[in-house]
Amino acid sequence: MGAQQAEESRQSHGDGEVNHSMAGSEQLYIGLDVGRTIRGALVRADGSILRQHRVVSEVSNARIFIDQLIDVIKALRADTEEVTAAGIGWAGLVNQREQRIEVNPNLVDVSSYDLHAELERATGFTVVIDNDANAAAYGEWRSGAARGFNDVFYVTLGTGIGSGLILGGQLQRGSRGFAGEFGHFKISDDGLECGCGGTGCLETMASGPNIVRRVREQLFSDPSFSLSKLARDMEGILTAERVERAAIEKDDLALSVLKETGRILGNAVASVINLLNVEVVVLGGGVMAAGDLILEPIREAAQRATLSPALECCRIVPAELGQDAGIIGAALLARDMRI
Amino acid sequence: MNKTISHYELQEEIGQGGMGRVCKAYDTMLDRTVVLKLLAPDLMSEDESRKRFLREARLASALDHPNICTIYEIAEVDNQYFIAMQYIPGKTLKKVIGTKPLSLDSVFSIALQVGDALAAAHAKGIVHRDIKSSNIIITPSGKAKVLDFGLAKLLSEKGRVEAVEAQAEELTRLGTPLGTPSYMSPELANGERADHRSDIFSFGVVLYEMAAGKLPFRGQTSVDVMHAVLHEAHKPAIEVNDKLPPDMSAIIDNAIAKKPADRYQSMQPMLEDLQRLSVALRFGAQGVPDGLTTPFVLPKRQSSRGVFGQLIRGLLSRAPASEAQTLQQPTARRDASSPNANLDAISDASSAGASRTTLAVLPFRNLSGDAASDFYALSLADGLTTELATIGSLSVTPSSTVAKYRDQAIDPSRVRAALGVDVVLMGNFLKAGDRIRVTAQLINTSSGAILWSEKIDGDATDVLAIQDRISQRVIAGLSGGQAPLDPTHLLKDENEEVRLDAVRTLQFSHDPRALAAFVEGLRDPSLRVKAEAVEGVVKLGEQATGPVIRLLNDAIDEADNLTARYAAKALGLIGDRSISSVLVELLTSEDKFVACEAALALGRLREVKAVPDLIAMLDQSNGNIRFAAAEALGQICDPIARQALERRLNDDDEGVRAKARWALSKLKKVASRMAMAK
Ligand SMILES: [Zn+2]
Repeated sequence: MGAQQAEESRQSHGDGEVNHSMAGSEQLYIGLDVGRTIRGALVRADGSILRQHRVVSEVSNARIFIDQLIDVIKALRADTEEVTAAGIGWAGLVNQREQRIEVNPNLVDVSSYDLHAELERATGFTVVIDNDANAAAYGEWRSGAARGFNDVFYVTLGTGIGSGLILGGQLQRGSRGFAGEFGHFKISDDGLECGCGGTGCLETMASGPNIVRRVREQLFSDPSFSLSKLARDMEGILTAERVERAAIEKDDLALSVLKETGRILGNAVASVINLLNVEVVVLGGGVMAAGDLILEPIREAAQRATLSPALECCRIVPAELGQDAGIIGAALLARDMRI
Repeated sequence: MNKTISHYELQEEIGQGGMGRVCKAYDTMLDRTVVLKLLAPDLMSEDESRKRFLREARLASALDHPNICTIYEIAEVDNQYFIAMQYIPGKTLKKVIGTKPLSLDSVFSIALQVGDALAAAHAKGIVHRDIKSSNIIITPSGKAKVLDFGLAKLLSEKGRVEAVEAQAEELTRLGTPLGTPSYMSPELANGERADHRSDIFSFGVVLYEMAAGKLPFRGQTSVDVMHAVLHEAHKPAIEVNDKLPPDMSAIIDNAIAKKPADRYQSMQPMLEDLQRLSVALRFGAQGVPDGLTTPFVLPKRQSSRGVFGQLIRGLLSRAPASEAQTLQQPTARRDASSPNANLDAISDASSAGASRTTLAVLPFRNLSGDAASDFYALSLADGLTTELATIGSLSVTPSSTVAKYRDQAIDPSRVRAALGVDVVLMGNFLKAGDRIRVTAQLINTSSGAILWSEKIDGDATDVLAIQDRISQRVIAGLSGGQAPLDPTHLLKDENEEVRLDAVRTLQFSHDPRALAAFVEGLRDPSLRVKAEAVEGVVKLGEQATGPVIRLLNDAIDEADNLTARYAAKALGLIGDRSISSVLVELLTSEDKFVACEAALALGRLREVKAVPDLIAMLDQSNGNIRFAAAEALGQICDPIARQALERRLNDDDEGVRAKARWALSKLKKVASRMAMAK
């Protein structure tokens, strides 16, 4: 794959700080993060964002959805001539061999379209499509918390749980591009049914919605929580973000669930450290907004479950790019493919 | 009359009572004759009281007993509420009695049947509240059937007064004391909270009426009758009918004592006394002398005696065996759970061996939370072990063996298995300054009954005095010579830790007082005690549903939301299928937590009939409700719910989204399993 060769050549520069602007005019890239919303940005070669655009994804009609993507790219480009490539981080499985999108229950089904070819035709750019977690991992690696490392495990904790893996300075996608489905790590035999068809997946416990689910269950299992401030909100709409805010405000219910979530995640992360001996684990995604309240329990559990030599040379750190990791990463994937 | 309600054709009117009209009717769907009670509209006007009544009545309709009239249906058509029940040909007991005493074998036959019905209802936590001879039908074959279980509540408080007035009119109109407050217990007459002992009183009045041919409390007007019930001593039945066995008269006296605490505390011992007397007098085994009696087969009951009786016998080997062999004299204050009852129950002395009672003194639990006084835990136990070991009839497990039970939640049955002891002494202490309060309980490890329990306050520097006191009480407690402190009293302690410990101890015991204590515990202001009481109730299982439903009703009435939530939680966790219609009713509770608990409970029961209500709940604005409904639907896995759940995949609430996704995954799994099976 071109992208991989590009990475190698970049890696030979030794770090991610190389200035990519060409003499005279600055090169710009478009990055898209596609999920329930389409978030896009015009990104400079150094990873900084010039401008952003965002629309809610059409979920009922594939044609309209694809046109939405084209429109966002065109809107971002506007009248700038320097844009040469676009990268897309896709919330779902992307067959890298054929640049084809697999069916995804969360989004409209575009598996029957040749999305890649259509986008390139409509925009006139080189387009690269990758899994959204891979894109975010790439962003954190090239210009975020994992800058300068060769062996990186990036986890994004949000509506789902995804991950990206960089080993020996290369983004790893597996034989077809389906690698990194950390959310479907099986953590228990008698666990809950998961959207993937399996049971006991990590995602059924630690994704944002499942954190909220567990908060609600906790409330039911112990009526004393019905006195908590968070419980009053629970009569309305509850989101993982609200749970995190409550934890920061020292709400017992939110704290207890986050702590347990950290323990579960820490155990799973430890397995990865033991397996791959990575130098750094970067944790991103909306769930990490709770900061140390979730990070500390993750570290504690990971420490207990990791072989100590592997632990000594590994750091567990929060991501730096926040919500923008995906769009920046997608743009940088496009940048590096162009070289 | 020619009127039809639902699928019932009304036939002749049978009566007109406090609740409304009563008609014979024909069930066109099931081709059978039924009795319809058409409830007066004003009784059902208030929303809350209607809901409450429906819950109670549905609960009672789950009673399935040969001596209880079956309720088929409680329903509403065009705002007319009605109850369809079994039609029982026969006469009311009132008519059968007339003005003359019944023959003794009839008295026993009917008493045992009605007593058994009451015991069964009480075991389910259902109180009748309106037992009277006109509510008991005697069929031509001599079978007794109790009517109107669960319906008397409809006439509660305000309604009751009106009913009494209406009955007073009836009195003048008919010239007979039909439907007077003659059967009403003093506590009901006083408008106080009445429990199952109120039924025991009314049952006693019915017994008196059968045995004497007259009512024990009489008067010209209902006010006079109430005065007699409240203040006048009745003439013992034996003075009215001198053919009556004195023991029968004594059983009646016990049942109609003015104070609930002076009566039989439950139906079980009363029924046992009646059975013993009946067997002793050779009744019940004979034919049908006056055409009224069916030969009554004594139901097999689990005996509360057994091991403990045997072990106590060792202690009591000094007592003359003949005393234990004689028929039990019914005494005032018979309580099935008291050690006295345990001792009284030894009627078979043939196997009396001189085995020694084995006892273990477990480390006392430190409730003070202060490590400095931890040493009392073992020193109290040690001292008591040494002291009790000097008593010849006791074999005491050495303290070194029991030290491992320190700071553990102790289950007496586990201790029994591990140490092989008959009785354990366990307790806790609270130290504050120079004072120490020790709570000790003596528990039979095989039945779990609390034989004795007491709080002892003392000087922390003089632990010996406390030990002496406890060991004296232990000995007295084992021999039954000591009036026990009701362990439920500990639930009124001002210290939260003591109350919590009392609930925990009761959880492990099978003490019959535990249920009432747990229900009280659900009301406790402390959330920890409430939570512990939930566990206790759940351990007791289905026998607890009735009392918990009543508590829930009270809590809803009193707007005590927290108690209502804990009660609903307990109810849901018991998992009693027979109350699923009550749970469906609760789905519309004002307190959303209560509604959620009901939904979760229906899910656990996989109650398919709740599916339409649960689907409707998925669209409510309250996030908890949508969540609980999705959970329940995921448990029930009815494919009908699929579309409604799919809509929830886009819920604004992330938790509801996750729950809906899970529920759909389960539905899919079940569907594919069914497809494979085909
Ligand atoms: Zn999965």
